[in-house]
Amino acid sequence: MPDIFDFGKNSSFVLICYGVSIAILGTMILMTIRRRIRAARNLAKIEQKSRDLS
Amino acid sequence: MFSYFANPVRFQNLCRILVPVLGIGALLLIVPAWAMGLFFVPPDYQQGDTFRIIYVHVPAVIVASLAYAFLAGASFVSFVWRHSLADTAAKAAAPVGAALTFLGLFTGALWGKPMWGAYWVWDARLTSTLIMLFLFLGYIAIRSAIRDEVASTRIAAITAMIGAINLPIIKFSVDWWSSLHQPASLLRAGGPAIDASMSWPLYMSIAGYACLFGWLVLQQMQSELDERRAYALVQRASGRVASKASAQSKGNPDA
Amino acid sequence: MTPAITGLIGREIRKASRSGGSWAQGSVFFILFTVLAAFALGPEQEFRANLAPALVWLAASLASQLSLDRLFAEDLHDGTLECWFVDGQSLVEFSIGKFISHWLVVFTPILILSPLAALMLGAPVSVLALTFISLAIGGPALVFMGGMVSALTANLRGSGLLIVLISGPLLAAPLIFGVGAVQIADIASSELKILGAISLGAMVIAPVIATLALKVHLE
Repeated sequence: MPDIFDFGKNSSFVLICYGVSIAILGTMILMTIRRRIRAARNLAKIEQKSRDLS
Repeated sequence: MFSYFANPVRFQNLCRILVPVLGIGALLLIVPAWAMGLFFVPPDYQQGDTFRIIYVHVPAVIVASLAYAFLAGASFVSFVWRHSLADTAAKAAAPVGAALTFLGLFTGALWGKPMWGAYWVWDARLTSTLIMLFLFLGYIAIRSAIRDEVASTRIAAITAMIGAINLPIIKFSVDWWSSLHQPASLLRAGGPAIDASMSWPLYMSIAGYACLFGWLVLQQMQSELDERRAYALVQRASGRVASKASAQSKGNPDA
Repeated sequence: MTPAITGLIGREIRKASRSGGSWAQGSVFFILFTVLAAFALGPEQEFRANLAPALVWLAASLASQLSLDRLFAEDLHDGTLECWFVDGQSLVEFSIGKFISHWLVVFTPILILSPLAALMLGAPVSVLALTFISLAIGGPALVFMGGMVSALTANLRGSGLLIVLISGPLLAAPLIFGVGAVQIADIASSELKILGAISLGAMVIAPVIATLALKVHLE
């Protein structure tokens, strides 16, 4: 453990709190971006197809 | 104002500006706030380094409460004016709010252990936050349980509003209850004023979490609108194919 | 009490009496809960005695939420509710009638059994009366709040667990003041008055919200 990550006697509590926050917020951000890209791409594909059909 | 943004095109134009602003804002606020909180702010004279949890705990709890207020407000607008964009907003806000509430409770428990000697105390603030988590989960559960689109929207809106009435009642009840059974509150009311060097990262972190919440909600709303539009296009196309097929079969007596 | 409400209550009670005893499920659960609680707490009489009122309240508030999934669902499926609505009768009256009949059919037996359950858990005789009174005052809150949630899920089959998930947070306030009233051991305690206020509030708000929900299902 490098020195800057040493937060006294409750070091593990601090690190777990930041770690879990990063993990959960990060997962939410990634999932949101993935859904966003997928939805936009899917819509573009279907719009293109419906233009071809009509 | 509500009806102004009911137009999906206007909403998309609004998103085009707001999404990058909120996203960059969240990044530029949260990352420096955490870095300052972890490495640059001097340790608290009472709590030592443990108080650094404040920069992930307090923003999560505050923005989670804001998220519930947002959910209840959006539900109200959606129920009374049948505003579909408000409903989309409520649907998008619920999981984000639940996750933030969970984060707030989790970090609070880990902060409570070294500070109070217990991971969990049944005081009014903790209990009503826990109940808020259940309200979010109940909202998500009832929303996914009801298949019919319109009914699930309106029933979920009613559920969110019941929760908004319930939360202050619970707060009051538990305040009453814990004042009877606990000799003194473990939370310092007010507490000593903290130094500006400690409070600035906290404000930044709160603002950052709020930006992140807005960013997540807007992105989820846009995805939802895209998915709905794609679904409607497919429906329309398959309807056209079906009507063409039935017209052909009518024209052909052998079929 | 309008004639419509009393008629509805009469119909519900007749229906319950012909249902082959399914109305008793709540009270059987109530007694079963206290029996299991006694086993869980162990043989120490004094320890159980202190917890008895709290456990009786907990058992009663959970038992009153059982069988709520059928409260509106049947009438929605077989068209009774629609007939009532098309007839131009008030849905508020309908939900009030339904809540009162649930209170009579399911909760009143629990209420009558509650001193017995407390006694079984080893509560001193002095708290029996207050347990009964606090449950009598808090009962409408439990029934009306649960009934309101059951109106939300009226179009779902097998929604029992979902109802408890949503009504659970609502039960916190009556539970706190109900158990508090028994522990204060004073008939004029403010806990009992607040409990009464919660019940009255639930009796006003629940039928209105249930009506909103039923209208959604009828649309």
